[in-house]
Amino acid sequence: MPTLTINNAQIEVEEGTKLLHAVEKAGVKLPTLCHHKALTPYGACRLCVVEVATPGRPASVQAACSYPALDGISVTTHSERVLRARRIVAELLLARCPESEVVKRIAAELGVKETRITKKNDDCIYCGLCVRMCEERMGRAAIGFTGRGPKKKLQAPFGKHNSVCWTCGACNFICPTGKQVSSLATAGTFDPIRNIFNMDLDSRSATYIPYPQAVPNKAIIDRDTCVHLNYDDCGICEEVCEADAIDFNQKATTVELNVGAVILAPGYRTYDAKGSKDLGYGRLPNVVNAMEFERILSASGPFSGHVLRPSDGQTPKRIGFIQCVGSRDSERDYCSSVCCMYATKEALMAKEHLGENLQCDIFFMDLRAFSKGFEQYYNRAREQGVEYIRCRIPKIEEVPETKNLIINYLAENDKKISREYDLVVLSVGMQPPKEVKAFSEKFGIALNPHDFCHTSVFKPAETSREAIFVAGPFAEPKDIPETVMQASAAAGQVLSLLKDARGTQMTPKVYPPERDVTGEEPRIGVFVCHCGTNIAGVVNVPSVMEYAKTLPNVVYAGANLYTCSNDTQEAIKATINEHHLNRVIVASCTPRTHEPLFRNTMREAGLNAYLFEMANIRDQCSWVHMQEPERATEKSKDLVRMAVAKARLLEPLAQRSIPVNKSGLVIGGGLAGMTAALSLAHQGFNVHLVEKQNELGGNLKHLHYLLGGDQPQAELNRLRLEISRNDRICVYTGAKLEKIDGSIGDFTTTIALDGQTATVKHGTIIVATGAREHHPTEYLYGQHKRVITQRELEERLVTDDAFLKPNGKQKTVVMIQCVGSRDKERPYCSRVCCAEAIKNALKIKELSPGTHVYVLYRDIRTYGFKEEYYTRARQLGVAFVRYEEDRKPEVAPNGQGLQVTVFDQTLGMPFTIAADAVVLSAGIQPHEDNKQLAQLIKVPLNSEGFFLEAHMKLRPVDFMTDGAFLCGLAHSPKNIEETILQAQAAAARASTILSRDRIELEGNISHVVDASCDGCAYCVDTCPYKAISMVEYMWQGGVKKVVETNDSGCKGCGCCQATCPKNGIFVYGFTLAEIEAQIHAALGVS
Amino acid sequence: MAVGILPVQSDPTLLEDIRRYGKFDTEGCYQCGTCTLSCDLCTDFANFPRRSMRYALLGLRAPLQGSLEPWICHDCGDCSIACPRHAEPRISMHTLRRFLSAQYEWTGMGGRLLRSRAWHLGSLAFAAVFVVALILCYHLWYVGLPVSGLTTAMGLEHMFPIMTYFTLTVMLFPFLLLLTRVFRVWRFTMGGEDRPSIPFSVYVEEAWTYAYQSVTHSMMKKCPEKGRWLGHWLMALGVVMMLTIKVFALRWFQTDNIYAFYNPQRWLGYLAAGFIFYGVGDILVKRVKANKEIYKETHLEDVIFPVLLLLTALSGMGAHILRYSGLAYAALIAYAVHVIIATPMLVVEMPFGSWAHMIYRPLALYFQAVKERAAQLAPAGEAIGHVV
Repeated sequence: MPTLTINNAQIEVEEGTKLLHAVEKAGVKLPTLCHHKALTPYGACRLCVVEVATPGRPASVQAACSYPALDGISVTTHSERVLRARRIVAELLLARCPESEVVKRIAAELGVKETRITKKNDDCIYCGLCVRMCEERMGRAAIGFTGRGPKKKLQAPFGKHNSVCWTCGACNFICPTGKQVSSLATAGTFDPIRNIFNMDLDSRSATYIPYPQAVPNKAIIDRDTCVHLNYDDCGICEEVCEADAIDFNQKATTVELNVGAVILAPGYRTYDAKGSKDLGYGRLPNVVNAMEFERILSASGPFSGHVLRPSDGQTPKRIGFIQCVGSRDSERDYCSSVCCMYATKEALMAKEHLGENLQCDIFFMDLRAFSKGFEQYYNRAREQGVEYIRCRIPKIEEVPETKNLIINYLAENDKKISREYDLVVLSVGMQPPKEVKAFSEKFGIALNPHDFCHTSVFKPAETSREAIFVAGPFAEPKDIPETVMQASAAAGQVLSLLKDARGTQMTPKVYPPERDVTGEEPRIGVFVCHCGTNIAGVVNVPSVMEYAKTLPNVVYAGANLYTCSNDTQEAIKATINEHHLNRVIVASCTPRTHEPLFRNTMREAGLNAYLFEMANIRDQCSWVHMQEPERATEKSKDLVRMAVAKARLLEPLAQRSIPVNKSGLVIGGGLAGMTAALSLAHQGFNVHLVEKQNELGGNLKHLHYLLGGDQPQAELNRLRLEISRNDRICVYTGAKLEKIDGSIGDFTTTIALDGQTATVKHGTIIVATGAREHHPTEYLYGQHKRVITQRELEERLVTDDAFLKPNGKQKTVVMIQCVGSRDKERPYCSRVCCAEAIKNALKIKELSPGTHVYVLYRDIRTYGFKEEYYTRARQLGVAFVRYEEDRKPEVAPNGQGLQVTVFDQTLGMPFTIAADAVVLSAGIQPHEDNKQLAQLIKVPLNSEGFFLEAHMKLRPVDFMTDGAFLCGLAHSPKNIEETILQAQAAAARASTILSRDRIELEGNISHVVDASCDGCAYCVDTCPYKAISMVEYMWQGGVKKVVETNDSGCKGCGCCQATCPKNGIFVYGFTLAEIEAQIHAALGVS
Repeated sequence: MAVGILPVQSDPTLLEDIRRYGKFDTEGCYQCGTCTLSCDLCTDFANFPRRSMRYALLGLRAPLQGSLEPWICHDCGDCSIACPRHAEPRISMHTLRRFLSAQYEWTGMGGRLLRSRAWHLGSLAFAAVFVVALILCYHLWYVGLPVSGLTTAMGLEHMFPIMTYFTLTVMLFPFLLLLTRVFRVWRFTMGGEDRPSIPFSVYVEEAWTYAYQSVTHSMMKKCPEKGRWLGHWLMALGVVMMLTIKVFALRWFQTDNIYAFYNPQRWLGYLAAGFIFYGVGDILVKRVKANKEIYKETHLEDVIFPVLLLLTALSGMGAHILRYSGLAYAALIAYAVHVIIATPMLVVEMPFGSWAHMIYRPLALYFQAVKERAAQLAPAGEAIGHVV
């Protein structure tokens, strides 16, 4: 093998190696332009020249890319002679193509600022990359050089367009000056491969990683467009890949799995807005659909998080959102449920990106902000200047010169108004997945009339076929929390079905043995995260990284695009081993969401999980200091410095675990509680079901019929019977909870029953305490016997045959919506009232078609498939009249009956209705005693008094307190189907704990220093988790009083440490020394 | 301002009432406003179809009776194409015009005819039979049956003056009957205590609108369906020419004289007949083809008038040709048929049928102009646009 000398260093290379590779192997970088690893050496640009000395001959200047690495030669890469030669080359290149960015960069790197030669302003530097690419790799030879010397020209044969060119665009791709080379060979336009992840707004290569957070984060080859797989040419990726990971021979394989149950979650397809021709989608460049706009807003999107419009890349100043595109029309008589809120979110996000003055108008029909917290979000959007305009937009017109868009709309007062927008976003609806018919046939399941999966009210996660379950929008359009709930519910159903096989096919995760770092000097690795542009868009990440390297004990600092991605975990592990790190810091987001992931990485690398520290430079820095990038960078450095200061003091902590009591407590015996209890029992766990009333049933007792015709009372009886027959469920009726002690896996609860008390032990808690109907105080309720609530109406319709026809006369019934909902006092939507009113209106029309029904509403919120009942009500002549919150209807007595006056928003005039009955859609209200229960379980309530889950989107049935879950109306207003789903979901979540034998506990808990504690007990009262108790023992002949911590109860909040006057108690991972070090680091003192 | 002082009472029976006059299918209308938005004839002062539909759906009888919008609608059907619920507002607007026509009519006959096809066809048949009886009586007891010995080319001279009186009666009586409803229309749409009174001078200033709209049908030109205006206008022109000739110059036309081709007596008639053939033919052909929204859903009631007009013109032309061909007996029979067809058309269709729109539509456009002008003159802040 040849051995040569490069800059005085000996290096051995393989036979036939070119000098350039040998130089690279020696760690020296040479400028190149015409060289490409996958193409034959060309030696045209002469940028890579080096001085080659062969023994016995004078040194000569040679192009490294084409000169062979011969044995015994001596190479000088940066002598004055070659540098001068390169500078001359750079000047010549600069003279030919002064506009080329690549040439400018190379020249600048060589220290050439200006050329002394007359500029040619050409767009070709004759590097021949395109010619070689076309001939060698694409196998085409559609372009080449003609002429020699000054007459040399890049041309297609005979200077004509030819059929050899297949418009692949490889020539354009490789050209360093950005010339559209393909136009020489063809009239066709090069059509890049569209990037589906960014909704086709940008392009990708045929070998690609689908998106930054893809799992697994691996490149794949697009079989449809890969030149090698289709034509046997190219194959560049195989040569370039340093990991030798490209395997063109991989074949699709069929895997046969033997499973006991199937969960279908094929998702949905967005409506193709090209179907609504007049809206111009696909024809007008600045009309995008909501998914595309979501990508435009995203940091990893086509414009890297800058909100630009497609036609000219300008920043829009006015954005219009059009709702109900592909929803609520006669072809798709359902509501897609999510569009009102995602449009609101996108409008607010766009305002965040582009500033307060961005005009965002949302054109809608009924604003369906029905879920928990949505109404408040909608109100906030209005306060922040998002304008909501009630009109369905049939048409968008373009101003041809500016590509701006004109929307003509009908104001609610019937005036036609025209507004101009820079960008219009179509809120496209959800449709069943593609080829759903074939899919359903394959699985033998039934579809509903809209081609979504058929489910039923009482079995909302089940398909029509046994052991096949469904989750997500395939069952009905739904948003993230509802999807998560249904997914958990489906998983729970499967767990019931396969309870005997549970855990039989699992391989427990084995971590490598933990490395003992005692006595080692801290060796800290700092990983700074770009988080797409979330952090890097504001903070100068490289500068933070460089800064970290200067901090004491830091032996490594690096930066990643997404530190949480799968491949980065591998990289971190490799770095830990390579640099022998014993402390790791990730400067990224919040430990609340990501600490568990990184701790796991630590363990996989053989380090104790607690030798890890996070610096939150996103939530607490880049997000809040968006407008001050420089100061944000400084603050990031401060945060990293603080983390380093603390990390130096981190000690490994023990992983502790406790046994799990395999029974669950369910509080509340309504539909949610009964469902959750049965679900847990079916999964093989014992259940204590506690109900404060004397019988099970809750609100379900008051429902007599449902929109779809199902029988709620029959279902109630079935549930009661099933519970009474199930020996795993122990029911306590007329019961009250006295006390709940302990923590996850090991609770002890005292229940008061008829003056006696019972104590039960259990591993989890499910809160299903429900809610109640609001008692109206307005519209003469309670003063006039013909003013009743919907629930009372339902009761009357079932029990009182004469109700609709007293004296044989037709009746007029007026329903008033939003009574006790969506007002100042209760700013939330009660979600079910619109559908309930329509249910009762349809019942009235069924029992007495001649009865006139008016529904006075603010927005009709019949989301999902309930829309069709709204349609049916309208078809049956139910009159819907919209009123504004500040112009509520008035109800006055009128002889025997009532007179209702309402101001119709469309007509702009009031009118009166002579009503025989007024029915109030009273909202849903949380129980007043929620507060006591919340204190017992140590969980929070939201401002309205409903229980607050751990995360609104991703953990909709979990509490922040481990081992406690919630479902049903206690969480927020919801209907039967949603209650059942959430109850099944809560049971499924609880079973993730109950199915374990032991549970690992957090290491960051308090620890008593016996010697310092004098038993003052300040901490005992302070502890919010009641995890500290007093103990006394004999010591040195006297009684020593100290406190003791309950390890499973302690959450490591640190209240005790803050209260203790004697340094007698501290929290692992937050010791005074560690906190002090952080403060000193923050203040820059030592 | 009347609005807000005395709210109107909702009458839940209104919708059923309207449906007696034709199809009024709300089919899941959710008041999205797409229909109004799609309409080229709407203005800020006159919005439809949403507003008109809303009156009907909410049972607001007085505001509906008082609305001029259904007459401003020219039936193009853009709204039905645009409607996301396929509720067909065009047809509902058409039904509203029939409903309103019945409201304007004070004898009660109009309502019957508009609600019941039997009444409609029965009335036409009754008038035709009545004319047959008159012709028989005339020939039995007055001039005898023209069996033979017809010496003149036509033998129409003998009918004077009795035919003049007959013609004047069947033409002017229905027309005057129509005119009597003008006050009723005014009272529904412009009068009433809860509407602001509009000075008489405004009516005078805007009077040209009535004449202009009657003569030009220019509103129809604003309709997106462009091909329609010429046919309709020529047909109307032909009808007016014919009626004028028959009322003022019957003696000149109903003669046994043979005129040369270039004589105005002949080419004026040909011209009028040609206009009618073109116009009616245009309507009927398009209705049969029904390839555009506007011509879809044709009911018998919609074509009775054009068909009768066509038959009248054809029979008149037939009589004329037969007379000039010297086939006197045949010409007489053709003439009798002409009178038998024309008379029911005049006495039934003009005052009670769809022909009545020749008065109502320009009147509504005139009143609308008056309203808008009054609104411009009104002090600021007092919007009159939607006063009902």
